[in-house]
Amino acid sequence: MNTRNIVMVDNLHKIYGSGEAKTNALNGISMSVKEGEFVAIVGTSGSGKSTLLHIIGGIDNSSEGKVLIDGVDISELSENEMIKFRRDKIGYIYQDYNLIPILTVKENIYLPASLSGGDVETDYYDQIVEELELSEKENVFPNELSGGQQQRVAIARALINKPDIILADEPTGNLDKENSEKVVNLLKRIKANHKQTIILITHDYNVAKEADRIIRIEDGKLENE
Amino acid sequence: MNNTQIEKLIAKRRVEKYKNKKNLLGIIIFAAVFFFTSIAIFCVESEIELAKLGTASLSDVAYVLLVFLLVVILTAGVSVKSIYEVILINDMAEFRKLKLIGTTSAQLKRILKYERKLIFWRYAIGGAILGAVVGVMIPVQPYLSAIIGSMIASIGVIYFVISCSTAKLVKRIISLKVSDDLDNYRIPKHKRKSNIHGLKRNTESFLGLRYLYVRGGRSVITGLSLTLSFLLSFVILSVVSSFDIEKIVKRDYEHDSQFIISMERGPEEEYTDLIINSPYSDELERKILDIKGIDKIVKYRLLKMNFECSDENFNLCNGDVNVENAKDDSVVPIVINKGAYWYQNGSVSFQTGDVIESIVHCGNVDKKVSLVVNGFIDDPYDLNIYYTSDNNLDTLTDICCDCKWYVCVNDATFTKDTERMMKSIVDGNDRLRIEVFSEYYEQLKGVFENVKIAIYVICVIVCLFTFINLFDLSVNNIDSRKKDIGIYRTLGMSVKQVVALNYIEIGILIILSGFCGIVLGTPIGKILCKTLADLTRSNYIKYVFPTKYCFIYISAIIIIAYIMKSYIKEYINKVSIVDNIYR
Repeated sequence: MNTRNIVMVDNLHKIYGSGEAKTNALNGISMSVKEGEFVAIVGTSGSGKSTLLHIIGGIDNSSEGKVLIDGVDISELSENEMIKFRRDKIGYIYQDYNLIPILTVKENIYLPASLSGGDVETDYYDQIVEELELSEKENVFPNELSGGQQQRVAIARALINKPDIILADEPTGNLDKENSEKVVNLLKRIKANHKQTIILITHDYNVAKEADRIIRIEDGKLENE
Repeated sequence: MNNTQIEKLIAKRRVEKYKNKKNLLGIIIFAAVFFFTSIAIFCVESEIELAKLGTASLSDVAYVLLVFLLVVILTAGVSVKSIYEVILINDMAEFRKLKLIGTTSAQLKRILKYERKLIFWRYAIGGAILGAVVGVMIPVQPYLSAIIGSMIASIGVIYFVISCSTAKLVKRIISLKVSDDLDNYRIPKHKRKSNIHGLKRNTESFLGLRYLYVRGGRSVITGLSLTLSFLLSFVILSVVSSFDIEKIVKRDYEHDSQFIISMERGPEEEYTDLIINSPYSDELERKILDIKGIDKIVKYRLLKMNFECSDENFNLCNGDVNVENAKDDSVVPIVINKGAYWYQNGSVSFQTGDVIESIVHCGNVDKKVSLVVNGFIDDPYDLNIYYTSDNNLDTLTDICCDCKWYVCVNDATFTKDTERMMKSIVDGNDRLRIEVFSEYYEQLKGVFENVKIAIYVICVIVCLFTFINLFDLSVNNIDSRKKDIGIYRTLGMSVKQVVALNYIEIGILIILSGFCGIVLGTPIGKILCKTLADLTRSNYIKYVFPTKYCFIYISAIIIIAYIMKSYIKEYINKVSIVDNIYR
């Protein structure tokens, strides 16, 4: 396995509010994730795991500390660089799928590629769609799909730009046991086939145990690895 | 606290919570009631006055105002509906909580009703009072019953319109289940061929168009209200701009004259009494022609006459017509203007050679004269029917039958001094009056400008409703697409692209409505102007494209669009991606 660290988090703090309402969501977190690693972050509700994921993904800012992605400090990036970073480096998967309701399955999957302006190889698209069993659903709208199918579309969308890192925020949270297992197996297969780094957040220990490594976070601090 | 008090308290708190949006609703209600009251007062009072004069129906102006009012009501209804929709959609969580703790549908309905009343009454009464004040100032005889009736009717109608426009929304809220959500657009339910080519070519335009499509009826309503208000204003202003003031004035100042010297009649004095002792004299004529800058005097002369079989009076006047000379004062050749309104709408019709037995009032004596039809002219813009020559008038009477003197000037030598000296000639002569072309022209121009300004203001207010609706559509779009915006940004869409996406929809509506307004408005304006010119037999109504109004409208659109763009940009920069996604 490649031992290069693709994600490095150093003494990360995130403070919400001020005065008496001040909350330390992250309290000096330092961690790293190796390229091609599948990491599960677990913790109770409000422990700061989603905040950590948002900061790593560049959709939220830290109050203190650094996040290096592939050696680049993302807090130093300009707005345009950050947009490009999100387009090219990160793929997001959310608990409630977050598909665009007015676009068909195929359009949803192609959306990140359209924004990047790059061409998607048809073979690659076909491969993802086949792998995620969405071939029959390309021209339907998300509201016609089951939860499991919607999550598979979200995964396909996250993969289309071949990002280095997939960030999954409770991807099985809205799914039943069978669909949860399917999604986790898919993520494992993606990791194996596409060599992508996956950081997954979950409450569910059964999901977390499928990862290469589990990081536990509580009250904004890492407990143990 | 009993149930009613709690319901009222919730309604009151909700109104306080959405103070700004509810003030906007209030302003629309205020404006709609104001317009309705003032126009209703004008129409009712005009109707009473016309009925007194024996005319049964409303004037054309009143019909135009009523159509205008309908558009105002329609636009107000649409605007209120869309703003109310934003408020209710934003409050979904609150309504769900109320349902969760056991609030019944009937209670929710009452809360919304109290809320509507709280907003409605204070603004509606204010609008009705201001409308009544304006109604009293309208130059028509005021009637207290008409004013009070119009106030009550306008409040009633606007309340009904507001109730109807929000009824469907209220129904949706009260039938809401705890787990339901309200979407601002209908998500397509059927398979649709994916358009990847379009998505890739221009992602923001593609998404903007798709949102426009899925919004369905609301997009149509917004587009319709935009088109209607623009079309109405465009047509009204086309007609107003079509009046050529110089031509209107020149209709009176015949022969391209600069001055008219006419006789001043006493209250009890008949025209014939006046000419017996005519104020026109050779000395006066000489004095006028001696003034530097004066070129000539064209005399308009006439004698009153009536047919033997009727008491109805006509003018027998001179003019630029070729008429044979009379052999004696009992048989006088005349020319008939068959284009004159009264001839065309009268019961008589003549042929060349016909003899009309008439009595001509020649000052001291009334003469029985046989008028022989010598020929015809066709001038629809002239009201006179019977013409003869100066010679024939001189044959009929010895006294001066001059009615008006048209004083023409020499443009090269005409100065302000000419005008001053002309005025001084009739000064102190209470039987003569002088009218100056330039003064009349300026006066009429001023009146038209004031009318135009009033119409511009009304048109701007109509458009304001639409702009509010448009602005609200933009706010509504942003509010309802918070999550989508968060996703777009997560996927790497720039702020500029998100702004463009939300902007395209508005841009299409504006461009389409402007296009439809001009494409439909131009022929409608032309038809209206032609009809008006034909009806009034005037040569001074000619269609003019309302360039100034279009310029003002486009400027207003640009300003509104800029404000909207700033709002969208500010919102996107203000709300974090995380807040958008996890709202």
